[in-house]
Amino acid sequence: MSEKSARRLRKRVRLGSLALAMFAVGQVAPAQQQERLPDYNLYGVPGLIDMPTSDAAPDATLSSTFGAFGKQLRTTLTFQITPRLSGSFRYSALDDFSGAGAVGGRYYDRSFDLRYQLLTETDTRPSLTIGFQDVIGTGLYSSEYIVATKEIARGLRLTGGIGWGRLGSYGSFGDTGTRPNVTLGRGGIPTYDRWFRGPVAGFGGLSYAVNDRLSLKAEYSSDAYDIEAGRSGMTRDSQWNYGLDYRFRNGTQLSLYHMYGNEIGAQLTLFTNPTTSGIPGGREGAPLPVAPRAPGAAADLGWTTDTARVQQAGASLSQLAANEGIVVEGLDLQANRAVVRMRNERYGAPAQAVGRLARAMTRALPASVEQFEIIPVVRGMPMSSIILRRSDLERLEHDDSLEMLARTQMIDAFGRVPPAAPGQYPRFTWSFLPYVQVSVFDPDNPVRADAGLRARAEYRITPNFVLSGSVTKKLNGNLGDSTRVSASNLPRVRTDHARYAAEGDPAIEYLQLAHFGRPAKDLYSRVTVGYLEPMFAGASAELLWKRVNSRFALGAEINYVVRRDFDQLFGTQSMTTIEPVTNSVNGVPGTRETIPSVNGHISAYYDFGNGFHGQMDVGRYLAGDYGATLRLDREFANGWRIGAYATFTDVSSEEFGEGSFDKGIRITIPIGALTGQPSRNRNDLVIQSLTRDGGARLNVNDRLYEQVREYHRPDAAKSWGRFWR
Amino acid sequence: MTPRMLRPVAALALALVLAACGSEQQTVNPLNALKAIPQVLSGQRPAPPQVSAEQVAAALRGTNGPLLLVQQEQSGAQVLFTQIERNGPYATYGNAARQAVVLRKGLITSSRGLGGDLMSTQSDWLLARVSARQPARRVPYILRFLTPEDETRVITVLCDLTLGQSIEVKGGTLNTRGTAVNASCAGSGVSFSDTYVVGANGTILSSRQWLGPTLGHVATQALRL
Repeated sequence: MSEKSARRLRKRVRLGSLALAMFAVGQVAPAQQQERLPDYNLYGVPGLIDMPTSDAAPDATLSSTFGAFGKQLRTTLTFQITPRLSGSFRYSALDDFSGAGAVGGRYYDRSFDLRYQLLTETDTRPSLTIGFQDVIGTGLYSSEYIVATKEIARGLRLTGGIGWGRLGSYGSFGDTGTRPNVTLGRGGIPTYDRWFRGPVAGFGGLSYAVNDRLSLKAEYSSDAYDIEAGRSGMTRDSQWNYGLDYRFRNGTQLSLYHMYGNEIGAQLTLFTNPTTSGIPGGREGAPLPVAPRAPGAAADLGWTTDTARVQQAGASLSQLAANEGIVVEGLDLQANRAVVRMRNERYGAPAQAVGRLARAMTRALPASVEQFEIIPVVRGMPMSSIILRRSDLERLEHDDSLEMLARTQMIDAFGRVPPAAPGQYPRFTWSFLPYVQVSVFDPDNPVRADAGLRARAEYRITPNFVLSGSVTKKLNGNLGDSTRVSASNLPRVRTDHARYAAEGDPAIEYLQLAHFGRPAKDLYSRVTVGYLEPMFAGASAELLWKRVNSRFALGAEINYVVRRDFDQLFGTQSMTTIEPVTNSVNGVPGTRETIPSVNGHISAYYDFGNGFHGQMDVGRYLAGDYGATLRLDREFANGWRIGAYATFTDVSSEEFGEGSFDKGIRITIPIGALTGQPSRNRNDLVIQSLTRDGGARLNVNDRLYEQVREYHRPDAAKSWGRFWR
Repeated sequence: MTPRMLRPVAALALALVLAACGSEQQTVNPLNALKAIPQVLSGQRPAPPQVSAEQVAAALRGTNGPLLLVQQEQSGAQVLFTQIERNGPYATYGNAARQAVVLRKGLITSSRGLGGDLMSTQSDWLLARVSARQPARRVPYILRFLTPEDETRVITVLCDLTLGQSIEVKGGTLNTRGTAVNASCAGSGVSFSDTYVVGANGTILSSRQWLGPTLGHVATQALRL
């Protein structure tokens, strides 16, 4: 993906949270690090210095690399998607760069790589990896390679490979056809026409690990740096590069290089891994132990007619649960069974909330109560009925948690939940927190940020009716300073975001009334009206169908929208957008487009059960375009998620503008996994390639699926090991 | 960012942290994670807590129930536990800091709140032999842990048991002798050695036992049974 056009847009991401995550998690990594991390190169993938090796990182490794040499600066995020497959996203800056696309002598480029390890290393054979570098868009770094690496003596690793594109540009020994260099569409499309075409050359090198910390490297590069030579005057005196890697105890890699005979390079790579970083099991306090009943005590039913004892049992349970961060909203206590309406405010793992509440029930409820039915309620919606036998809890307290899972029944809670006890509602909550909003990829200023304060309030009128709002006040920052105006061929549903950022101070992010409900068995509903998001007000209705024990769900959402004023206060404005005057090829100045009032989607969700989760949304987007969004995420039991999405609509690449279609990367970081304390907070980081008007969805709050699936069996079972935690 | 800019930014960050508040305890300040960082960076650990003879005496006076002293080898921290619940053969010992260990005939079968807890064990076979002070070979012993990902990691080992000397066990109300049973265990990529000092009735009075890859070894000493 190039930055050749001057109509660069920016996207706000919460990069700060990722850097924090990597930093914080990196600190606790060593105790858990099982497999050795490979050395990474300047491209932020396993490699020597500028050349790749065939090594693969341990499964689920997430790394961020900051590498620089000469006039190049590369920032790369790499994720080991499966044990053999990895993907990398890179943002690079090239200084003193002349020609199209450079802004103030600096050229920015984004690139995306995929690597697949075909063979793993054994005693007798090297590992073998096929790599596609910069596979989307204009392909500044475009190259493909096949590389092999083998340890030939203790600590000494030999790498050899052949490459095309960049890696076939110096010392080629043959060619496989002609490599085209035209950009497909408006960029952002896989460069399949180039793969394994053109001159092919060999590269290779050696690395020697002096000890666990230090390694020395030498490589022969097959990259001629033709583009840099032509456009930034780079000269090479040698194809040999030399380097020194130092690895800190937490895995962080620091490298120094001498490159191409006359340049100095340096690199820092930070690592984290959702499967191994963090404190196993967390640091929170011990649960209450199960209070076993005395033999024969279960036969005593005298308490059922004693109102005082009944009330006392309820009060005692509420108190014990409150100590665990769990709210008992309602209780239906019968002679042999108890149904508890539970609100979980603390635990990211539903099983832990259920396990702690169940133990509190063994301590508070009369001995004759044998069946415990726990119903987690979210915004008034009973999510599932989790049915446990008290005698199982007594018997299996010190056993494998899977034994308890096998004896736990989960059914739909429709029509089973007791009402909230008097005094629970209405309920008012508020918070006052700092925020940082970061925008990247604007070539005028690749990282812009605003810092300020955000006030949020929520008034639960009844369990199901929620009035909520959020206001921000900027204290400092330069997000609104952008002078770039994005051109568009479509109704300007998102490309005016710079104006919204500049004029919205203070801004009402949202102010809405929502109703959540259970219209029938397996069905969940949401209706929201008000100022739904920074750019649109209106009404949104959603219906979700999901069975408690199923990994599949279907949803439908329909929205009626009105465009909000740029100042993000109470006003709305015309749905007709006028294309501003720009010097771009996109959009004709003065063109009027109308945003349709109605949009909506049908969504299908599927948990593949192997750590991957897929979602497909089909429907009409904000600008009136029709199409589908595909999402694939790798999900971890502790709440980490790393995934990607792409949206294809009936808007052509030409109409869409740069990038051709909308796509991005999403990372969810659970705060609990970072701090070792239970938390329901998570941080979402979305890196969208560009903010364009095609394939844009309404950002309505509190969509149903994530709320619902959490308390359904497939999700709850993933972290069931926490039941007895 | 120039150093000149850093100071106002740091001041702003501090102001923002101080400004964070809310009606719910659950309102988590995203900057809370920062608090842990200075300590992590300096690498300094607070001095491990120690239990004094006066504290032991006070604990013995304060309750009639069983008392246990546990020392973590890695940190040197000593913790005093009192029995708070009993479920069949399992006795749960806890303290005010909401840490807990569960003992079965003196063997720690699980821990909670220590960080990297031993979640549960299958110790029937091991305990039968240890309790009977019988030498044995290849006795299975299963330990279960949570991973940082919240999955359950099962470590299955086989233990060789040998008998050691008779050892004096003195502490709290105990003044007796026990037989040392040494267990040498290996499997699932780990190996460790435990020692249990077993009293006349088959209960472990003091021990050195492995609680997993994170917690390492702990020493236990019963102060009152």
